[in-house]
Amino acid sequence: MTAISSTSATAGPAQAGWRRRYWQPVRRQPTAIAGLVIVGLFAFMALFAPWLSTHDPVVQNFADALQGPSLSHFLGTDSFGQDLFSRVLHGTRLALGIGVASVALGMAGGMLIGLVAGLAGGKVEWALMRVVDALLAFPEIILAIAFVAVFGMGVDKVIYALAVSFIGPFARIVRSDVLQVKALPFIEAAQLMGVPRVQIILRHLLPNVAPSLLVQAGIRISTAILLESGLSFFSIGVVPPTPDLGLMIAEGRAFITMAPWISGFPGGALAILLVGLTLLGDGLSNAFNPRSQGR
Amino acid sequence: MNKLYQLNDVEKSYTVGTRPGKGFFSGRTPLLLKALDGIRLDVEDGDSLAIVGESGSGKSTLVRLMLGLEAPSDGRLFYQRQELGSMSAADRQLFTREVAFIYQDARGSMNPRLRVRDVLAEPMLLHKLCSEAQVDSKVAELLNRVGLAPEMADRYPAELSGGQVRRVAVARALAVQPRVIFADESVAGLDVSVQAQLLNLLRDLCRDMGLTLVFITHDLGVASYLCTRIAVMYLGRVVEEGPSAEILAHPHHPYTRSLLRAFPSFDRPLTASLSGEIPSPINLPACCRFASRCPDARDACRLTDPTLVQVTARSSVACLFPLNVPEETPAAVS
Amino acid sequence: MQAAGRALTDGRASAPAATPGISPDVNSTTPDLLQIRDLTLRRGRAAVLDKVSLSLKAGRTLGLLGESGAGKSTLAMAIIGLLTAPQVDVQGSLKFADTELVGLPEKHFQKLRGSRIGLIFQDATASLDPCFTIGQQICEPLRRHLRLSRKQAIERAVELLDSVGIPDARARLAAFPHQLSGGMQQRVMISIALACDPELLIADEPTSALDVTIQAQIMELILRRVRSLGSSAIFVLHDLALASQVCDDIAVMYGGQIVETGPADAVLRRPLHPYTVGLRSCVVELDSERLVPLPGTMPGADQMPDGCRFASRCAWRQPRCETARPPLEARDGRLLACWRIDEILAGSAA
Repeated sequence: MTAISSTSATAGPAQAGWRRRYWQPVRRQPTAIAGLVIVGLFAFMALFAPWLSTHDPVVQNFADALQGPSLSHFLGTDSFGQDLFSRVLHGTRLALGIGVASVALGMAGGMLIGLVAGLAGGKVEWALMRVVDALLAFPEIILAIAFVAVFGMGVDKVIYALAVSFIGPFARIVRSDVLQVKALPFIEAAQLMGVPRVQIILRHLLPNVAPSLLVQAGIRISTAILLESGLSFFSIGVVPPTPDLGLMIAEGRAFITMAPWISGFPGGALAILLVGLTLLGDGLSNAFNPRSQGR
Repeated sequence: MNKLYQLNDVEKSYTVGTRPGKGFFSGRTPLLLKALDGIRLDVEDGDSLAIVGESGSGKSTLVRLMLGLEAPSDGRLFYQRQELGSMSAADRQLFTREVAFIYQDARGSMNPRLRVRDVLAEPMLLHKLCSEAQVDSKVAELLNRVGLAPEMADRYPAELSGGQVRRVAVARALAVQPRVIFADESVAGLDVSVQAQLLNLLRDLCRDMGLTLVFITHDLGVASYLCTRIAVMYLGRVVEEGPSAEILAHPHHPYTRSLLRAFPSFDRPLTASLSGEIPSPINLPACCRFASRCPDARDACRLTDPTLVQVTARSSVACLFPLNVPEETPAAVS
Repeated sequence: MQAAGRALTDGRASAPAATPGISPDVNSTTPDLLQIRDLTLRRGRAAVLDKVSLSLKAGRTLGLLGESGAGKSTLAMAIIGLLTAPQVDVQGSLKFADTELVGLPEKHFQKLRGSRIGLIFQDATASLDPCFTIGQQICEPLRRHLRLSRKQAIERAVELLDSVGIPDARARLAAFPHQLSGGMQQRVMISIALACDPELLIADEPTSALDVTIQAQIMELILRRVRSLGSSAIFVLHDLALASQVCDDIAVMYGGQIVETGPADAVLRRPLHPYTVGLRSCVVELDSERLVPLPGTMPGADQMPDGCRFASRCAWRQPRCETARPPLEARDGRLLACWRIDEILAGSAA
């Protein structure tokens, strides 16, 4: 066995430790920083949309319809005379809202199934994993469309539809993480010390399963937003006149040659947001990947 | 003296796959790995016992059984006159407090997301040995006892060096004020200086606190430095057991003698006294398991499997022709 | 199979009375096989090896001792050219039989490795390719360096496996590494390392991962083969007692520097440098009464102080030790790097 060297102990209070553990690995990844900036900007816009908007996003004014970008309408107006700037802001708000909500819900459901499967083992695990396999057999968008077809359209239905399609991947990730962590020595050490089962799960198992899960969740938010926009584009997502980026792109289709900004600005915003989310997700997963962390 | 542990003919077997049976229709017979065979061992209160063996000796399996992680396949294992498998929940909880284990992989035995303070506080709070308010002072006291600075309480296990993390493992074992501490190769793989510090720490702690220590190692030097009694294991059997001084000076079993000879020393030339590989513990022959490598093997050794018998006042050996045994003097009437 | 308890010191090169392999004795006529002068290896800002000077004569074995982080493995890697720019910056001179190795192009190193310099690493499991059979791995250097035909290589491989004590050698050629035990794998490593009769063998902790009875067998095997070939060997070890039985000469390293070198008997029975003294008193022997550990820990490579690197842990330290690095000087048949060595010598003679 190689002799383990005594590394020089790094002095530092608890706060420095936090920074060193979380901020520095992120700082070293340029993709994470770029993603953080973009997403941060969009999150800010989304959060303060009601105050940043210049007009009410759903008020129609046919007199001002199909106008290009100007001082009164920063991004122009669409065919209903609605201000695109305000609609894009609110659309971002909706997109991020739906994305986060559906991923959170899917994560909760998947975590429950994965946890039970990983801990129970045996027939229970087998049965649950077959259910998950069934869910995973469908492409996410087909599953979402099926759900919307059965339960109807609207923001809340879209959230549930997307959540269902995320349960599968999360369940699988959680189960494999649980299996891995379960076999680590400190779980057995806790059992030996007499720590009750519930406390082992909550204190020792979950916190070690959570990090990779959170990174996965971050990555899936971009998938959720894309799916949601897709559904809305095909008119089976949110109901007009809800300001939704996908819906706006669809609405602008007829006017592509005359007024390209009606599809262009929402489309561009969506693209940049997705790129930002992807960069952030990649960067975070690289930053916290134990192998790429140069110790 | 109070007997803490009593092992009566404990055995542990595992089924590791199958092999074709004899004859066309016999199906497959299971391959049996007998990790432990006929273990007879006592551990008394205040003892320090070293379990010495190489790979395949079964020493780690033996400790897992004594910790209650697995049940013996045969034989009976008593802790304070109770069998581990049939303890009540309350007794079991008490057992987890009285018996502490220091893992070989000290860093892996701690939750990487907990700070040292939380790692040490967990067992204390669990067994209600102190209140929430007293945690900080108790943690500082423990760290001090193992020679670590109090600032270490804020670190994470991943930030500590190899020697430091093993000290924290020792501190955690002490936190519950146990009666028995088991340690699995706790000093292997360390630099000599760090190893020396840790050995001195363990030795002093056990002496000062009157703890019972069961230490697993492959190193006879470490075994004799830390413990007053040594049990040598080979392929699942205790082949020799007795006081350290006696075993080192006059080994009774040929395997112990080979181990001693193979131990590098400054004064004595290194002797490769044992040839061949350690045989596989799967499907052991029904004779002395050391016969295939023993330099003194005779015909009788290839027929009978010796059991552990007492040969001197304080030591036992499992050998048909033990070494260094004083001639039996007729009971002379003074 | 009864192995006679053969002592490893049988056949040890009888040390000429006053000329140990690493002495500065200029009258010695045997040329140095390996000569290292002021070798400095930097990784970034840190000097992982700092002005290391050593020499090794043909037919002698040298042990590199020290704690982890001292640079022993780094030195071994540097000698065989596994550490080169751009990861590290190498200065100084490293001569192997009149060939300067510092700055040698990789192409030339490949001709040396496996043929004139053999390597044994600690973890045989990691060093053997799991996808190829033993036979393929032994034959590779034979065919590459010695240009043997396939048939000839196979015959030689069987011979080699036999010589390292692997039973059923011909059948074993078709086995994969995972089918062998740890001790067997290490024997295969040894036979690969010695396949082309190298002049220099470098072994980095060759037996640390093995059981102690197997360790004795393997060490005895390595020494026997090295002596019969008349090769030199460098052993990187952390076990001082093992080093005392296996090496002719010892070089003790600390913080990337050599602090003491000399004949193994002398250095380990009568250590002079405070670090060697401290190491010696930490070693667990069968009759140790009380171990005396060294205080503190070795600083990391990027936190090395000016002056003597051991000063912070040394009982003999003086202000001078903290500002200026002591040079290696010859004393009493050895080389020592300590400002207070004369006082220490006077004290031990008293």
